[in-house]
Amino acid sequence: MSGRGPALVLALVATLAAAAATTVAATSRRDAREAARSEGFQALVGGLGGGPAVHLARCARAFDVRLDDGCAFRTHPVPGGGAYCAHGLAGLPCR
Amino acid sequence: MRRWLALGRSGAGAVLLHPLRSAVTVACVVAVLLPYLAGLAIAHGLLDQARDAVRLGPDLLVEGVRLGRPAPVPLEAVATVQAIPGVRDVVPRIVGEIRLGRDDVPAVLVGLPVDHWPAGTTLVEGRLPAAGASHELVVGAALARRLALVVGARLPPFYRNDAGERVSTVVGIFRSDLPLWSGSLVLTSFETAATVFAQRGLASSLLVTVDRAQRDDVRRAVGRLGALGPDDGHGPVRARALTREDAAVLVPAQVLHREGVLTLHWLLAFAVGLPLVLVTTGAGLAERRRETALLKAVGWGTDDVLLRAFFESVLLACGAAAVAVLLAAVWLGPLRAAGVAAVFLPGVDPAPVVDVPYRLAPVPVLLASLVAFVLVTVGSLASTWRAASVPPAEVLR
Repeated sequence: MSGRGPALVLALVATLAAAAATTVAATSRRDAREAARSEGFQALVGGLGGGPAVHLARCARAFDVRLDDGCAFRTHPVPGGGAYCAHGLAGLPCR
Repeated sequence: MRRWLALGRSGAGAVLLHPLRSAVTVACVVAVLLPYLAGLAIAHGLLDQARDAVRLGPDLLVEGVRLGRPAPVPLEAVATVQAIPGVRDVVPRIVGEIRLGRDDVPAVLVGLPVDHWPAGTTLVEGRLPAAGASHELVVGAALARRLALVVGARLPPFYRNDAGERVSTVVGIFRSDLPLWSGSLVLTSFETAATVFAQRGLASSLLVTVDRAQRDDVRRAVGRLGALGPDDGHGPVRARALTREDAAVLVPAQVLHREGVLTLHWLLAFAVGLPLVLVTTGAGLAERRRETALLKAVGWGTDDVLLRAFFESVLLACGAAAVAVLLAAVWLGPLRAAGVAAVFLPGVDPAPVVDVPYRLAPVPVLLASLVAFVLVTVGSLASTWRAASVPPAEVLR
């Protein structure tokens, strides 16, 4: 292919790659204000959370691993029930 | 060098020769990479916040144990633990589940002595609860939106207490840019939390601050305590202490475990995506055979044809990986991980109110780019090699 087509493709890919690299550079480091807010919140509540769940409704351990010993569904409703616990990522077992 | 540049230019031209094929290839690769990048970015963001939860947490977390399971701690244990040499401060904390509203929306009630809180805070719209059983609450942003709560709103009794139930007042709402766990949180005074759960004289755990040098001694001393409180007729409540170092291992391990599970799932998606991209990049496409035959008929060698396909693949893979990264950033940033947050973070709304933490780390991005390259190259080079190994006259006949 002749003309400006190939040059345009190269320019487009280079622009996309540069934009992606800039995005990664900008988002790979933690924002200082966000870190300060997070620290303030944790100081307020005495260190709480750490798991992927946002409440205690099904699995306290998924909210904060310090709050419970193990997955409540490990032996309920059937042995190995942890395999069906929604708090394991995408349905895989909680520990 | 001139030959390589010419081949690169020809490879760029090949992207435009079959625009539909190129677009579908990029779309397939983006579809495979985007969930992976989004999932790992959320895992990295969550890990940062989880580390804060450990770092700003207590030196020692003391819990009761009964029947081998965590049990509430009698408040008499505050003085007992405080008396251990090396202990500087002991704060009782209540953490429990409550249900609010007509739909029984789950929330986490946290009760702490008000003197534990800083005098002024910018983390809350409104103010922090007053001391005593004032029934003043600070609620999380997600909870406030779901229950249509504003500062000053009154909540009818949502608990059962034989000593009487009272209307609660929302005196503050957590900002939406706080850590994920603030969304469904209800913060109140220790006395109010005790009234809500109708459990006087008990705490969920004790937050213990100790002299750094004596941390292990204090831990051992807590473990040696016969009982945390007076006998209530059911036998002693034994003590169990978790140090910050223990938590620093446990908490990130949970997130990393989930990150590993996500990678496992993504490998399955990769396995499905590979044949898909194989098809879209050329396997069985008559155009690629004809094109290769024509190039060979005008004097191109097999290596030239392969190099041209290689450059085409590099451009497509590079473009697809870049598009996936940009889409992931838009999805997780301005769109607040709509749709994907509920998959990775149980309990989060499909359109989250609270900021979902994310960090697009370079290593997963580089890995994704490499995989994009492998996906595209395997498809195009294999088909090009097959086409190039056939005599051009046979194809063109």
